[in-house]
Amino acid sequence: MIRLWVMLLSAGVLLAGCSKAPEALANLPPEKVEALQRHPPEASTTPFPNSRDQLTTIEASPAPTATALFAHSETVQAVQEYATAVTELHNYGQHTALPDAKTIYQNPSSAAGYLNGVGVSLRKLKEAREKVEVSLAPGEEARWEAYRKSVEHLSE
Amino acid sequence: MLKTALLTIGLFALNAISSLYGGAAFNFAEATKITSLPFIINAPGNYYLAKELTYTNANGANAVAIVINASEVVLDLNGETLKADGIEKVSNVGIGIAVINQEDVTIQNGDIDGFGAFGILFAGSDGRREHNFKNEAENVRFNGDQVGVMTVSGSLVDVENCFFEGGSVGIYDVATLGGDRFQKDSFQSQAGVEALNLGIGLISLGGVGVLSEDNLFADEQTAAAFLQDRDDRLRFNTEINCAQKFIGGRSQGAADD
Repeated sequence: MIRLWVMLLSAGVLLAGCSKAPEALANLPPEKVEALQRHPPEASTTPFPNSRDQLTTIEASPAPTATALFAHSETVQAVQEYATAVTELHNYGQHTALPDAKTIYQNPSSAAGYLNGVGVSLRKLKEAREKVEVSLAPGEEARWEAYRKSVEHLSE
Repeated sequence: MLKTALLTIGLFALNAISSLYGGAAFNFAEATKITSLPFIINAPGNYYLAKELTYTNANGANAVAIVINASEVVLDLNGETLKADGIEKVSNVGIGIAVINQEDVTIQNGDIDGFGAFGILFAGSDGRREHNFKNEAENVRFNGDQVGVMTVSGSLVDVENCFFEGGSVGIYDVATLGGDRFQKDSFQSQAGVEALNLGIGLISLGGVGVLSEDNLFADEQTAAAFLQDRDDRLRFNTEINCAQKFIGGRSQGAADD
């Protein structure tokens, strides 16, 4: 019985809410009502990205371009070389595999290619960094440090 | 009677030295003494170096001075030195101590010098977490080993209070399954050698979840540390006079950039 009363009361509240809609329209100025009737609001056509899309966008967003940050063309070139070396470092190992641990144990030199390869990119990074640092225009040091940290680390 | 008393005093002194060094609890009275090389450990338990031991391998076949083929082992170097000579010093040949597919192995309290490949090799060969799990090096000085500690496919591997001087890389961590920690270690003067042209204190490649905390890096030829994954963490490390500081990783301390 109580359940029936609750259902009836809920239905009443719902009907009262609906009846307010025409009242709301009636409170609008006539020209607004007319405009709404001629051009009802459309749903946004821009898709709202789900969280995964948003994450992908954030991950993929490029660091500010060197051209926009530094005055001298030689600095820009060195910064680009630097960024390429960082990318190589982050991707190192995708095409070179470390041998099985037992193979390394029996023959440590089998690991030398993999272990040594990363050194090429690390040295490129060092050379590019040195080139950048000698070519910076006055006042660009802080900008370079911020750029360097943004491409190298994910600071907290 | 006198002999027994002297033995007791000797063991007491060894235990006192061990407790000064720190590391895993160790009872010399129940431990197995290592007096010659190569030596293979096939059962859990405590082992210690009785004196300085130099390994030179005439036939060049088995280039490992001490092989640990058991889990739950504590190897106390007892303040002594495990030293490479002859072919063991050749680049990419000699290994001081190899621990393959084991867990809960601790190596502590002494020196490992001059091995041409690795001072210590901790490795798992099949990606199973219990193979190369919770292995540890504590209070060990690595002098002139090409790579001080090499760990492959490990998890919760811990290298703590160690000193790495010379060689090409202090610690090289590859394909960790997560949780490897390198803490309170000192790295000095790693440089490119003939076969391994790196010169870096700490490298982590192809894994995720390494922590480098409270370490000191000095005079590194190429860089203090390179941590490939962005979820590897750097906390409160210090760098002095290195060609580059800390590359990669996620920096959590003010000086880790």
